Amino acid sequence: MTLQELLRKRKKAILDRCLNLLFDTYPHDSVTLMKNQQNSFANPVGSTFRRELEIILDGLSEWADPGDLTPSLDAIVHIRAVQEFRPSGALAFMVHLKKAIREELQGMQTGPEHLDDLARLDLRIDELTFAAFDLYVACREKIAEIRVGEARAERDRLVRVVQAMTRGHGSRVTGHGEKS
Amino acid sequence: MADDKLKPEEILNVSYEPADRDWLTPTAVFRKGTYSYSAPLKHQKYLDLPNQREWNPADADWKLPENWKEIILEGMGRLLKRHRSFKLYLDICVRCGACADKCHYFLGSGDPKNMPVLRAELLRSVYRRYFTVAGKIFGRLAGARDLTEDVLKEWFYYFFQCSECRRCSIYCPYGIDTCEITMMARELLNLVGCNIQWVVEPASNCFRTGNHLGIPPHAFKQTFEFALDELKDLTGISIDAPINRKGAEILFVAPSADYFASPHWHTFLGYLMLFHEIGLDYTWSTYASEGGNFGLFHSSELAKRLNNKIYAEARRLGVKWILGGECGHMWRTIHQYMDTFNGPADFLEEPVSPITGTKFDNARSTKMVHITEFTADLIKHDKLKLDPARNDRWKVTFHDSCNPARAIGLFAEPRYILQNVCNHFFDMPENTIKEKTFCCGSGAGLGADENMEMRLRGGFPRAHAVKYVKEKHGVNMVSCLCAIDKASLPPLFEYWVPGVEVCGVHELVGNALVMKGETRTADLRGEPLAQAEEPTA
Amino acid sequence: MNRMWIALIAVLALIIIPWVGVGAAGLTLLFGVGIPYIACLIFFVGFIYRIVSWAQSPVPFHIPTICGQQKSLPWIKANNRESPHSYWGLFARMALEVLFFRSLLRNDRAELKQRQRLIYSSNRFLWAGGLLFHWSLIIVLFRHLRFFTEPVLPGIAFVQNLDALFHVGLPALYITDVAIIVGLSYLFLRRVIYPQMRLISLPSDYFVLLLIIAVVLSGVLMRHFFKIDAEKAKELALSIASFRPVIPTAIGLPFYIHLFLVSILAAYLPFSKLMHAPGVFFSPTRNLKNDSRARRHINPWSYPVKVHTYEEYEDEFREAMKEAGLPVEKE
Repeated sequence: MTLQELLRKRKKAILDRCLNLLFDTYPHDSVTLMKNQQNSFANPVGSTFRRELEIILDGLSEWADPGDLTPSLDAIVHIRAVQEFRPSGALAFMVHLKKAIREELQGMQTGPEHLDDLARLDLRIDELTFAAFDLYVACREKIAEIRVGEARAERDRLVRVVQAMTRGHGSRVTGHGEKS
Repeated sequence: MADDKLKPEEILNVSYEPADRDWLTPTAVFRKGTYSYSAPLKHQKYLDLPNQREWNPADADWKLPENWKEIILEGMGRLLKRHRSFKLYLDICVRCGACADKCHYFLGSGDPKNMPVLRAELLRSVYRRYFTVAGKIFGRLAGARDLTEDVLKEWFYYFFQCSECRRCSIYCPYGIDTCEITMMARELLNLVGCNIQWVVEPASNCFRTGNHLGIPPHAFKQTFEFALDELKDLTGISIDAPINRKGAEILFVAPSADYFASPHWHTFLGYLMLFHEIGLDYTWSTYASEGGNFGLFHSSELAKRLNNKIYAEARRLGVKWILGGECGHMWRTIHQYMDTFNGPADFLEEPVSPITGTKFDNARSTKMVHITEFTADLIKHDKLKLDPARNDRWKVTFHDSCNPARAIGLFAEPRYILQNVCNHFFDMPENTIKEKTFCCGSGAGLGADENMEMRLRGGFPRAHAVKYVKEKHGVNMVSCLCAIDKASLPPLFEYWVPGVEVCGVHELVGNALVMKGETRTADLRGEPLAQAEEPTA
Repeated sequence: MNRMWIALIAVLALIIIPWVGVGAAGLTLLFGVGIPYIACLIFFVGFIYRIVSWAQSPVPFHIPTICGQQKSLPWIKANNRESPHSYWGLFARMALEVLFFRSLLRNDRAELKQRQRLIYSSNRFLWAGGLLFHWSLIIVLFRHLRFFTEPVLPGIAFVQNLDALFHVGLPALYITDVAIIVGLSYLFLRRVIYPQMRLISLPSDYFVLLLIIAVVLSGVLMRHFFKIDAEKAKELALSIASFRPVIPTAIGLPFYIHLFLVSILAAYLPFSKLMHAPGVFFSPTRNLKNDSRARRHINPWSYPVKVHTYEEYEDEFREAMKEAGLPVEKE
């Protein structure tokens, strides 16, 4: 059996292992809900993780182009990037992915014939990890950009107000609390 | 991202396992991006708030008054005597857990203290310790804990992480309303001067100038000039917008963001066009130009102080009744509080639409009608000429804003309007709309930019449902009925579902409205109309 | 987990007390008459005290949470049950809530189900478990009235016969006895199994569940296994109820354990979360109609507040308003 076949065969087990590791990064008490609630809208975070990780695993076992997997990666990273994690913690799920595959394949008959493929797989996951890093940074930049955007909108509003106050009526910008 | 610098020994400490701790131990960490700044001193002063000072939630010293504990406990006793809801909800929760996964902040963050039941327990534990026999005797065993500064900080952290959206309340078998608990907690925090900028500053501005940005009346008038100029360019029609006019039939009150912010502005234009087209005898007011009530996020007293202006102005101007614009918590206040706060409105008349003659019986005491009730009635009576094709570039969904949904039950009116003003309308999945609607994540004063990460977490369940209709139906426009939604959904979607825009219902009405004598080639955003009609002479 | 063990130890201790008291010390009068009377007294006084204390706090604002279309325009179909506009609607809403736990059943219609076979919906199980327990409890309590009436009222006998429909075993096994144990077991296990339930559960949450389980088990055991003298138990019950207590003779130890646990439960109830039973009727988010714009709600402690009057406002901005062409009150 090739490594790809092994991966396909053990996909469900690998996925569960990987998800469990991912869910374990959340407070223990919250995890049951995230794990078990199947309704996507009642459990947006858990359901997104499950769906997207499955796509990534499928992709890995098909040697899919890493570029095809970035939307899935992005969906996960988007969530992790705004939650209570350090950058390293936010991306830990990529390490978990590797760990889950290794642990799951341990019991299978993997032999020297798989070594090349395993190395290739590791490389692929590493590539994805770097991609995840880029995506993470992009998310953080986006957040900063949104904040700047809000500040800019606020400024624009004030400029409008100042224009309104000065246009045609002389300047009568009164400070807060000052009685004129 | 933690911009709090990591110590060298922490850098390689990449354990991702969160510590399992008893929730009775307070755990608020003020990490940037997840809390709001404190209220500026000058606004504390303007509103005569207690314990005025400059302070910072991230500092160790909160400069609390020496007897802060007595103040809080005394305040708690007073609130228990005044609010049956508070007393009852502290007593009867059975911790069944039905609410646990109903909070958008919990769903987005996974922080167990965002489960409504645990959020309430933060307060309940102190109540037990000081107000129940079991708590006094058994302490922690009975789920009771001492009121310490850390507990107070935890309150501040988590009760400014609740947007008072009341979604959890509909799932509770006893109707326990975390919004009530949060309101009481905020009342208590206010007693020792712990409040946030995004609540106190707008409240203070509204108190002084009538709008949340603190814009004086002459500038307020000028923004109307801008709007009317813009409408002249867009429609070729000169529209009049009476301000502070005595003797008008109707006073119109909108959230003040509508006059200055984007995309609210387009909704504002929509109102102006609609009122012009039907020839409404109405007036705007500079003094009562804010329907939104930031006081509600602070204390019932401040809410009442701000709300007072609406009836006072209606009385001064001698109008018959009041019409209210698109706003969320404004409508919570008007529907459930205004009459109690500042009524009876016996100087007004029971609202009757001057165009259709419809009597708004549901508003016969408060005498204030929601704009979607008013417009839906106009459309039903065929009083508007509408061309929904003008909104064809939008595939529209409707986000039920929390307060109009769960305080009023305003579900059919906006949908009826939307179905008449656009051709492509798609609802989001059932468990994310109407009474089960998800909050934008920025309500109740949490919409500050420094709180962005928390807002993005809390808004994720909403964005997730929008993403679904975007992928399924190509939805690219979310309409809503709330000024805070209009401010906070665009950044939310920019992060989670790029390509989806936000508008008010009356922006789409304005687009579809075929006006007498108009020359129109562009919609209210200045984009070419999907199917520009030949101008009707 | 400690919290569960604390509660378990407390309940076990409560079982040992009558065991020693009646079994070893023979204090039948105390356990058969004294403690039940005291417990009843505490129950009634405490219950009324709690109700009165809630009733004393007013409802200053009209704050129902609305779950359906409001009644507004005549051509829009209003939802009277989820957004009551008449007393009938309100009655229906409360009835559905109290009798069928409507809110626990809300939503969770599964869209976008994922591929997993197991459909998990915590709320629906909670709803079923809760309903099973509460309804069984009502029927069990109702059945117990046969010990307090002589002759037994026909309705009671009817329910009793219905409950023992299958006539399995002798005496016949009650359906509700099985159902209440199933319901209670589920309610207890979910607090032990699910981490988020463990987190939010207090010792008192485990305690009441375990106490009720102990009451039920002691009742079932004495009916089916230890076979106490039911006639004598009834004599005691009748004598207590008629305030002419007789000193009971040998009824059997399990009976005293059962009676003692029930007494503890009754005395504890007014001070516990079990007050949710009357409490739900007081809940202002549920027991008010959605008519706050049609009818004025009065806040009894309303007090005047400092407002910013139009005059103050105009005083501050008058010149600018005049310049801008806005009408003013005072020139």
